[in-house]
Order: sequence, then structure tokens, then C-alpha cells
Amino acid sequence: MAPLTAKPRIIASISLLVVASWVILLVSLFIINELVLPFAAPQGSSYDVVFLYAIAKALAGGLVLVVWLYSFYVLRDSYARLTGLTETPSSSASRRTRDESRTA
Amino acid sequence: MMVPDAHKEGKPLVPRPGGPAILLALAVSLALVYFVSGDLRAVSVALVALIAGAVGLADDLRTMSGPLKVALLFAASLPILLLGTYSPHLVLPFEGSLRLTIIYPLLVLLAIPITANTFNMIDVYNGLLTGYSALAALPLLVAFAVLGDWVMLGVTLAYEFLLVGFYPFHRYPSRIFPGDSGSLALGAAYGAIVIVGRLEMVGVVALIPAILNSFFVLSSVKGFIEHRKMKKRPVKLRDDYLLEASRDPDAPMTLSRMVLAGGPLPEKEVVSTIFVVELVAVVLSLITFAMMRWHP
Repeated sequence: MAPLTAKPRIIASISLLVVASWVILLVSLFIINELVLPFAAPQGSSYDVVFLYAIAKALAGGLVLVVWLYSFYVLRDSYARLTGLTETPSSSASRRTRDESRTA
Repeated sequence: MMVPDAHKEGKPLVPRPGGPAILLALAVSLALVYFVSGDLRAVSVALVALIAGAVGLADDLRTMSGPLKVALLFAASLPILLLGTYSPHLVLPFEGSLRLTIIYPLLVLLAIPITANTFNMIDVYNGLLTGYSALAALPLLVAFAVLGDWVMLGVTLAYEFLLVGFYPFHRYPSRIFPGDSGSLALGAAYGAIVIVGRLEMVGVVALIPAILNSFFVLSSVKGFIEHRKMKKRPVKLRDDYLLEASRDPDAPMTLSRMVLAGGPLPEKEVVSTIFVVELVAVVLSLITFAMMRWHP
């Protein structure tokens, strides 16, 4: 029953993935709150400047959340390596591209 | 309609969709909550579920393209916006609340299609969708009880009891499939509950395993594709009816493929493994709720 004995290891690995994703989410929220939100236009700035600051804040907040989503790729590839499942589509695609450019 | 259960010997026929039964039970119980409390949040959740369920029913009867289904699901967000049952103050761990007057309605518009599709994408094995949804609703029950939000506790209890009632018919071996009408309605209702109940972060954390699954699938296939139309299957069924992870590097990465990384398993073992992982997310969700309550 080899597959069933592998189950606790798999549960631990995927749980680690979930915990890592949770920690990265908390860190992302902390960065948004501590670094992005306090970023405000100086008192008495014109409407244009306040508007540009608001746009910059939204972009910075969005960037932090994009980084969180990107971390999913990293976690997925780490999991694939950890379990020896297979190379994931993104990494295998980049490997194929690299190999093809070498042979070209 | 009867559809074959592809993971069983002889592919027995199973009735589908059970979504209309789910929708009826949810609508009746939430109407009761509304008549007792007069709180429009119960109406919002019911309408969101009904619209998403209607989109799913149309998909059950005649398969729609992935992008069309997502586009129609935006309409399911409208009851929350039109009835004004949301608060644009996002409550974050440690930080108190964050005012998002302009952005929040846009997030509501996105959130319902996302949660609906997230639930839809985990509805791949007997009992997985209903068991997973019931577990994911547990931290919401605890949070609403702690907050003393009795209306939302009633709404979430209606959701939970519905799942507890449906699960015995859906678990292995399934006697009914919820179909897209069931999965989209359950996902949209979950999204609506966390939005109108102001427990967005608790809901997001409780759904992390399903969110990871959706993200991995979408990033692998690069777009919204019906799972029936995927060219490479993430999981293969062996002759002995054990499920096995595909070794094809181009096959999409899914939660079930990850579970099967350790070797072939029977269907119900895959489901129970995902339930254990979801329990971890439930605990993290409760920790997140405690962090939201704690303001230094």
C-alpha cells in the first residue's frame, strides 16, 4: 500500500503550500498598509497632484497583490520539485524554449 | 438528466443537476431569515445565489463557453451593489478597517464571479464540492457568532444546513451531482456572505486551497476553458479504477494532481486528503479572524 503511506507526506507538503500562501498574503497586506497607504500628497497640494498620488497608490497596491499572485507560481514549482511530480507547464515551457535556442 | 460517473467501474448513470434543489432550499431558508429579521443582506445573498444558479443551469442544459459564463456571472454581483448591502470598509488583520469607497464596488463586481468559478473548479469528485463548502463555512459561523451578527449567523447556518443535507447524497458514491447550477450558486452565495458580512479576509483564507487550484489551472491552460474541453487531463483513471497524476508536463496542475503526486489513490482518498488540507485553511482562517479582532 505504498500510495497510502505517502498520504501524510502529501498532506504535509500541500498544507505547507497553503500556510506559505497565507503568510505571503499577510505580509502583502502589511506592506500595503505600512508603506503604500501612508504615501500621500503634501498638505495643500493641487487636485492634479493629489490625483496622481492616488493613482500611484493604487498601482503600488496592485503591484503588491500581483507579487502575491506570482508567489503562487513559485510555490507551485517548489511543490513540483519537492514531490518530484513533474516539471510544471511554465518551467518546462521555458526549458523547451531554452533548449530550442541552444540547438538553433 | 443522467450523466455517467466517469471514475467508477461501468460508469453508472447519476442524476444531474442537483442545483435547483440547492437553490430552492437556500431561497426558502433565506426568505425565512429575511421575514424574521427584515435585513436586506439575506435577500442579497439569495438573489446572488439565484442569478449564479440560473447561469449554471443554462450551462448544465447547454454548455456555455468559459468567457461567456464568467461575463454572465458579473450580473450575479449586482444585487449586493443595487441593494447597498456592502460596506466599503475592508477589515484587515491587525490594521483596523481600510476605506475603499471607489474601489470596493469594483471588487464586489469581481468577487462573485471569482468565488463562483473557484467552487465550480473543485467540483471534480464525489462529495468534494459540498464537503469542501461545508468546511469553508465553519470559520464564518464562528466569526458571526463571536461578532454577535445573528442575521448573518442565520444566513450562514442556512448555507451550512443545506450542505449537510445535500452531502449524504453527493458523497462517494454519488447519488446526485450538483452540476454547474449547484457549484456556481454555492460559490456565489459564499462570496456574497463574506462581502455582506464583512468577513472578506476570513473567507479568502478559508478558500486558499481552492484559490490555489483555480490559479494553477488558469495559469496552466492560460484562460477560461471548460474543464470538459481541456486537451491534456491532469489526472488519469487506471484500469483498476485508481486515480493517477498525469506525468505529462503540459497537463494542467490541479489540487487533485498534487494530491496524487505520492502515487495512485482511490477517488474517496483524494477527496479526504483535500478535506484535511481544507481543515488547515479553516484553522488559518480562524487565526486571521482573531488578528482582525486584535488592534494594537
